[in-house]
Amino acid sequence: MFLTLLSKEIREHLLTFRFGAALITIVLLSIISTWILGDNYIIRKSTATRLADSYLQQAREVRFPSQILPNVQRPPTPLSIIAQGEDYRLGNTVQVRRRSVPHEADDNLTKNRLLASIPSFDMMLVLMFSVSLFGILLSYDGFSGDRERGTLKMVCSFALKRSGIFASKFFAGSIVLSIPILISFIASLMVMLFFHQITFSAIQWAAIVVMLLTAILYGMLFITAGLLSSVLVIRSSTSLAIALLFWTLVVVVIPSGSNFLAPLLKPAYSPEEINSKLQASSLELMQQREEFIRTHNISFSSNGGDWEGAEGLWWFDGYPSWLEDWKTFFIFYEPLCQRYAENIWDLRRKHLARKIEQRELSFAVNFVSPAFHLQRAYTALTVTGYESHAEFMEKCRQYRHTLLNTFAQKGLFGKNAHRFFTRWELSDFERPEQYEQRLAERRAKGIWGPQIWDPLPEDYVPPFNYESGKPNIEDALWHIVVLLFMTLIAFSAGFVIFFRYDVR
Amino acid sequence: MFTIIKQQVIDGLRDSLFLFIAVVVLLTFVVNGFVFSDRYHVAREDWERHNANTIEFLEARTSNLTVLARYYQTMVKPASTLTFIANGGEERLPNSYSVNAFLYVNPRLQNRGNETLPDFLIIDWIFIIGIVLSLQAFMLGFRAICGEKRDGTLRLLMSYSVSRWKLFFGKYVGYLTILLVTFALGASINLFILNVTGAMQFTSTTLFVLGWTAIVSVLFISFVLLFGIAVSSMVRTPAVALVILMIFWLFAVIAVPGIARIIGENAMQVPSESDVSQEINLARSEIWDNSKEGAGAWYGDNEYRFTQAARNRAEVYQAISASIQNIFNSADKQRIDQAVLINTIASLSPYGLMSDALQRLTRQGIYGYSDLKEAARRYQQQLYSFTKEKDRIDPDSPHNLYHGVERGGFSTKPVELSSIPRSDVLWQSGGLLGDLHVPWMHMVMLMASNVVMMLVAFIFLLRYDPR
Repeated sequence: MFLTLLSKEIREHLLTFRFGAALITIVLLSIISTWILGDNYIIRKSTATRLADSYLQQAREVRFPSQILPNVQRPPTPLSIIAQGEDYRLGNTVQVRRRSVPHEADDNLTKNRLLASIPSFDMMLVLMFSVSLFGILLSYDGFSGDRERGTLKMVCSFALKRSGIFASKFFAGSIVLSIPILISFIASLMVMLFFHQITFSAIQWAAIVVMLLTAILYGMLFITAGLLSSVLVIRSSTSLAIALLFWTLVVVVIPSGSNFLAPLLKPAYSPEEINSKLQASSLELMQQREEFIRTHNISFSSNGGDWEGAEGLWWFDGYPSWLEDWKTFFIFYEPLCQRYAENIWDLRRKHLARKIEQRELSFAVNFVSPAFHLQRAYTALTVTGYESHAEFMEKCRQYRHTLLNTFAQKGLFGKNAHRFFTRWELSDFERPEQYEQRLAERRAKGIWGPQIWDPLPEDYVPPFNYESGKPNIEDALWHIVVLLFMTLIAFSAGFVIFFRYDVR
Repeated sequence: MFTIIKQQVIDGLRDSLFLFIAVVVLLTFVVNGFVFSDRYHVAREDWERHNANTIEFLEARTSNLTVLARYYQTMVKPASTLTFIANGGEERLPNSYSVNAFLYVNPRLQNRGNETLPDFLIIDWIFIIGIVLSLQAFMLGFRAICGEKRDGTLRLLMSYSVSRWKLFFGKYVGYLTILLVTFALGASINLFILNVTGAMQFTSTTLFVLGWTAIVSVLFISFVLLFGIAVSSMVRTPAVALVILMIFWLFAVIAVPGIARIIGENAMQVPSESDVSQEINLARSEIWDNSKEGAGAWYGDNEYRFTQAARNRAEVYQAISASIQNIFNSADKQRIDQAVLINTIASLSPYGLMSDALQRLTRQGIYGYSDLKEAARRYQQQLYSFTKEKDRIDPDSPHNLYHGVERGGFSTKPVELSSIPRSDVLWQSGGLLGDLHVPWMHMVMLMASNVVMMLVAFIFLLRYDPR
């Protein structure tokens, strides 16, 4: 009897305009978003590859440790076609410098930072809005509609328990809503595999399967919500009102409102604090530099900028007295700059910690929103959430420490400080004619500037080990469990209320 | 007809769904008022603090005109009083420029925005009108005709001596009245909160913007309602009408603006930061390669400062500055054009059209960024003129104004702090740069959409079978 009722419900749903509309809308929007984002991914990927090659080339061209400013990047993941997360606006490339701690990434892939204000459009967004909406529209009149038509009385007169009737409506709605979800996943994957020639690893395939199941679970939750609103009242127009109000609140208002309210309840620190600290540090550094130059009678004058063999392309091709002075100055100035960089990072970290608190508060308010859980599950599975970006930034900071340690081990902040910006040794100047001769030999070959030297040995630049793109299934599971729990609660509530429902 | 209008108003007010959404509308207006009031005050406080700090840092450099002229100030766009209408994603757009007497570059984000938060919509007036109020309009419109048919009351109405156009206008005016009453009530509460908390004053500028915002909003709500009635006149059951309307809503609010972004990004390529840096480096090398004799070396003694070689060197640096500014401006213009193109494509949807109209009207979003850039340009020119004037009256200066690291190209005499131009005075009290413009094209399109939709709805109603 249960199966008969189930198949009848499925047949009825399949014949409705609502189902046709859901099918066309979900599949069409999914294909459009995948198609365009697939193209976008191909462009981003090729740009990332091109940039990686140019960074490698730059690293090979380095003649002095002062030129070592490695660019490290986070390549785009193919799963970002399904959900772009926060990743697309947080940047992907970091230039690791000695005198500043990495705190933000440059965006060399999306190119236009002015677009950060325009929300992304991906398959996750399509599913978030359309699956929930059609879930509601498919089920809002499940009982109240049957009651109005007079068919509910008849169904209840069959030899089937109310639990069976409720379950048949629930499963029928869920199966029917799963059809467009399944087709949209298949169609989108076909677009990615055949038109964009994208390949996925085994774990990425597993993530895609989990995403499909999550979307179905999300749809089931809204089917249950629709049925629940249907058993709460006797008129289908009122149940539609309740269901749509619920949808508006949990899919539209609460996620937007929580982001909106979190900064009000937990205000961020003023950026002016960092700005003034940066300015004050710059002034202090300038004063200390001038003071040192004056007291140590250094033979070059400094007038600001960043040119004392520091972070850039400066190299030394001068005279022994200059070399000594530069070395003395560098040993004093470099640790000072690094200390200032750490102090500013401490301040930035305090600001970031407050932003994370805001984020947690927003997430706490959002806990009641299934749309939020779908979004977080998808960003964890596609590795496009803020968490993965933060992990990358942490790797960059660790890499900077490794780089500084490498320099320190080579004595570049101490006894070998002159090697930071020159390949000459003091002994080279003991016989000036030899120095001049060597210089002349190279210049005779038409080689000028730093190019007169061979590139630095590779051990000066430690490798940057970062592996991205591994889906975080564990994080996603937590949100999926919450979705499941919500579905069970809504189902149980609907089930209990239906027991007391007056079918007359 | 007045009887029909009155009846629709009463029906609407009795409708539970309408009342539910009306409560949500009012609540969002209240939340908007308090949040934007807080945001405005915080942003204003930060801006004033920033300006005070800037003066302090300028003061530290007044002892030397060269140091002062080359010092990059951070010029920050002040908080706008109108951001509650159209936020335009200002938390994620650069709001500051680095400006000195030679260049205005490096737009950056300097506010309390939180980049770690996920993407969801901001609850500004665009959100309230475009999403919540439009849902409310759909809830009224979807049953307007086919609902009456389902209940059997349409035949009854038709049997009276009520013509179809009277029925149509009666329903339209009745529903529009209650929608506008909800909007007016919410907006009044919102403006009251903002005014009482000091986040917005009723000046001629704000009244101008509010007036036009009201007109855009009325046109948009009217269009959405007409669309609802049109769909209701096309189908036989309210459920089908509702599904069509919700699909339209999905496309108009979510899909079209999102797809517009992706199309815009793919249709118009803009240079990346690394492309710009590369171009600047190339230009710099080229200028040095073509430099005149003696430009390559700097001899800091006083005699050298007045030689032709020093002038040649100054020319090189001036050419480099001009080149950097041109390359940067060209890239930035392409980025702005791309963002405007995306807004234009998004305007294919009524929601996008309304959103773009309000952003243009309030100078928010990409338009606010353009204003910031213009302000930075004006301020750089002021600083340059100031430097040139101070240098002109220094008899010890060789008058070679350029941006570089060496001292001695131009005057190194002290200047008075009070005489230095300030960037904060460029902005008007409401955080706006210049005159406001009415987005006439958008208005015309919204009006045309209303007329077309009214005709469509009326024609379908004329052909509607009430049986």
